[in-house]
Amino acid sequence: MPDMPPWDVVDHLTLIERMDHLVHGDELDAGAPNERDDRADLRERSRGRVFPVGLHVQSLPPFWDRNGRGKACGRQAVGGPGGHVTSTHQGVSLGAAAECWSIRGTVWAYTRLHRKTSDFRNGGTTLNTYTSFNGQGGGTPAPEFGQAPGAGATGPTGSTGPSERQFEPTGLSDWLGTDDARRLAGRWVLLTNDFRVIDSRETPKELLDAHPEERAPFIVYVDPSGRQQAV
Amino acid sequence: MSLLVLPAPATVTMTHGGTYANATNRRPTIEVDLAATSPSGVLLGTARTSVLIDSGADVTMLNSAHALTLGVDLSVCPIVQIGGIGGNVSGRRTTVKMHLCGRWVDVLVDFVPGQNPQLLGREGAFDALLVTFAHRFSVVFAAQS
Repeated sequence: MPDMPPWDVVDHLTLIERMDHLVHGDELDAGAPNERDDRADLRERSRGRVFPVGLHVQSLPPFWDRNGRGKACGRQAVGGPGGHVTSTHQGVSLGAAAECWSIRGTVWAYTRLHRKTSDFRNGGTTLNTYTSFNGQGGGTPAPEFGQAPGAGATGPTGSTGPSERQFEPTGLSDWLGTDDARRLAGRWVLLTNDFRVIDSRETPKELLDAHPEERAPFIVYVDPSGRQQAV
Repeated sequence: MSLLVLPAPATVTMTHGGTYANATNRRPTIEVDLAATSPSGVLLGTARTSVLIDSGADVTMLNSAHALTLGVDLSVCPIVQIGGIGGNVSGRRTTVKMHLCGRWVDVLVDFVPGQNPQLLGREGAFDALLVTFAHRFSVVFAAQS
C-alpha cells in the first residue's frame, strides 16, 4: 500500500457533516439566487451515500505519486461541489478544507489540514492551495474565466471547461503527440501512470465496465481535433 | 423564413433513431451519455441522463445534480441568467462532452438546480447533428452533421 498522502481521511459521518457545513455554511459565496436549492440538492444526494474511505489510498487518482505529492492535484481542486473553493476564497478557517470529487459515480472525499493558512488569509485561491500542497510555495492565482463567443441569447455568454484550474499529469502532452495517441483519436483511453495504453473504448463507461479492477483509472479522451491543452 | 418548395427532393441518410412514444406527453426525449474532462482530456466523471430535444433552447440545460457525478465544480463556472417561457432562472455555465450519434461533442451546458425537464439545446449539440422528427409516429432520427 502506498504511503498516505498528506490528507486526513475522515469517517463517513464526519465527512457528510463537513460537506454539509461547507455546502450550506455561511462561508459560501452568495452565488446564484437559486444556488441554495443547488446546495440542498447536493446535500440530499450526499446523504446516505457510501464513502469508501477505507479504500482511499489505493483509489487515489494517478495524479498523486506514492508519497502523496501530487504530480498534479488540480483534478481534486475542481472535482468537488466547491466547498474547498469557497472556503479558501473566503479565508475562513474551518480547520480543514474539504475536498471531494467523483470517480466512477462514487463521491470521494478527504479533508486536508490548513498547512498554510496565510495562503487563504491573503486571498489565496484554490490553485495556491494546491501549489503549496505540491510543495512549490504560494503558486499563482488561478486564471479568470473568459467569455466565449456565441452561445445563448438569453443571458451573458461564457464557456469554460469544468477544470480550467487544473494541473495535468506531467508527460500527458508528450503522450498526446505520439502515434499511439493519434491512432486512438476520438476514443477514451485507459492509461497507466507512465502512459502505456491498457485499453481504449468508444465511451468511458465501457472502459470502466471492462476494467473494474482499476481503482484509480487514468482515462483520457483523445480529441481528434487536437485541441487538448495538456501541459 | 418561409418553407419553400425544393427544386428536387433532398435525401439525407440517418444513422440513429428511436421512439419517444412512451415519454410524457410524447415529448421527444432521448438518453445521452455525458462526460467531463480536464482541458487535456483527462476524465473527471460520467453521467447518463434524459434530455428533451429542444430546438427552441439556445443552450442545453441540465439539472445541477449531474455536475457532482460529472466532477464539475460549479462554483468556478460563471453564473448566467437564463430566460425562458417559465421565467428567468440562474445557472452555471460550462462545457461537457456529450455522446451524440457515435461521436463525442463539446456541448455548452447550463446547470440549473432542479431543472426538469432537461433540455438539449442548440449550442454545440445541434451544430453536430441532423435531426428529423416523425412526430406522428413518435420517432426521431439523427445523424452526424
